[in-house]
Amino acid sequence: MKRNLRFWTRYTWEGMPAVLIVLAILLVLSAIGASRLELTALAATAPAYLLLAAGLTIVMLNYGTQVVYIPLLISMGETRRNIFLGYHFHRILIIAVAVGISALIWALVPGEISRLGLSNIPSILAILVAASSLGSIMGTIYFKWKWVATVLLVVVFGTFGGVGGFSVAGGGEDVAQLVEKAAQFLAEFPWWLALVAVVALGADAAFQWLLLRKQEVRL
Amino acid sequence: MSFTCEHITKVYGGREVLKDVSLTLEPGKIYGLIGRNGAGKTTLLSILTAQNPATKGTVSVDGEPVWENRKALEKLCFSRELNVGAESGIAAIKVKEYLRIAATYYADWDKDMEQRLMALFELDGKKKLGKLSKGMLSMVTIIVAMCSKAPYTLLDEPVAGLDVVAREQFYKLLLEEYAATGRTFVISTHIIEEAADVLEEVIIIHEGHVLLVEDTQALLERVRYVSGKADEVDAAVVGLEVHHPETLGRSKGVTVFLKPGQRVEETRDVSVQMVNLQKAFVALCGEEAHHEA
Repeated sequence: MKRNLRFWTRYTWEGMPAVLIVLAILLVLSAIGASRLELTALAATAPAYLLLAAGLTIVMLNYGTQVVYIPLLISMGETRRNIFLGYHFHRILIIAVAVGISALIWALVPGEISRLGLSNIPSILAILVAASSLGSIMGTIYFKWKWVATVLLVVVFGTFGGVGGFSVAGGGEDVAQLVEKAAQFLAEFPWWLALVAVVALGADAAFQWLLLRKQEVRL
Repeated sequence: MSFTCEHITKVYGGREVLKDVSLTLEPGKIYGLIGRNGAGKTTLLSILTAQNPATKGTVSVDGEPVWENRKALEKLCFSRELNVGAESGIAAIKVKEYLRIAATYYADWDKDMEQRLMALFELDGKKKLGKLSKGMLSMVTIIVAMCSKAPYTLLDEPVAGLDVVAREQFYKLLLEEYAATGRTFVISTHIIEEAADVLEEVIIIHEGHVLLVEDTQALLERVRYVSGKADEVDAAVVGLEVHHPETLGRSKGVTVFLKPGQRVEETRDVSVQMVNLQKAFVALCGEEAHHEA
């Protein structure tokens, strides 16, 4: 298991530039969309983007993990059980690093957004776990049954994108203001969010294990 | 101390690819696994090393089941033939990353040997697998197999795409490693005659069945090609295990597999010759092969 953890830690570390790239894109988009550009506000909202970038990176890396690394590790003599555990360790590590850095920034940057951010950490953790689990399921569906996944992706992201875009356009708010609003809502950790996270994680774990336990290597 | 599989069956989409295969591999030998395309060689090697699950049957190494057992799996290395087509995900992996993953997972990985073989094969670690030629990919699989130091090491078509010089290098390397460590090697290959000199035992697999597991030399000593006038040949091989009859006009040639105590009498009209491993294999698995005795 030690060797397995070494691999997944390194794999996670090597995935970090992807998080930073996604973060940079989100920050640039946010700066373009914002009505004002104030450094403290940007610093305070950056962790929210970092967390979003971490979630998106987990989803993006999932495909490569499924297609390349899982069969490769089986071919190198690792057990499917250890690979399953390592894969979840990798996801937890990305989330932990992103949440840790976010908490640190919020602790250092003064202001209301930072205070809200810190009080939001339990909710953020739950959202990241839920989102990355759903992303992992979607990524795996894409890997196994491409056309089904494409339809699902269009429906899910189209719905979210449409609702989000409509809200922004209708409310006349920029993304930073929306993040702030969401943070206020999530400051009191809603119980259903924890339930959603647990159910999503359980569903993902069950789904991944069902596929992995008899996976065949075809490199 | 042995590596065994018992009653292995593998079904893909309703088709039985392996049919009740049982096999025991003794430590300290070089085995050749030979069979035609689609005979089930890669499937068998994959199941032996738990890379693919069997539909039925068990595999164990030194008494320990192999499936989902890290302790048993640490004794095994199956360095697969790498296919890096457009659809393949591993094409984007660099050689050094591939070897680094192997070094992480194989407990006794020999880093010095890795560097030596990278230099010997003139491989560039920074190149992606997808940019390598077929021969270079074979070199990568050979490096993984050799450097893993696994007591039971299985190679799938290790010389595919290699030029004659690289093939010689591989056989030399194999024999040196075998002499130094006594590791067990199983080599699946199509280039039978070239490999015959290094294979101590040969496993012939055909249409999902293991037809034969035998000491290579002992096998060659009991196989004869009998040719001559058809009726004389037929008379000479009565009661013998006859394969692959070939008729040309009034002449006939057959391959016979003798059992202990059996022999074929050479006469004025019947010629009896020893055959090489490739001919013996063709006699067993060639399209017109059939068993008369």
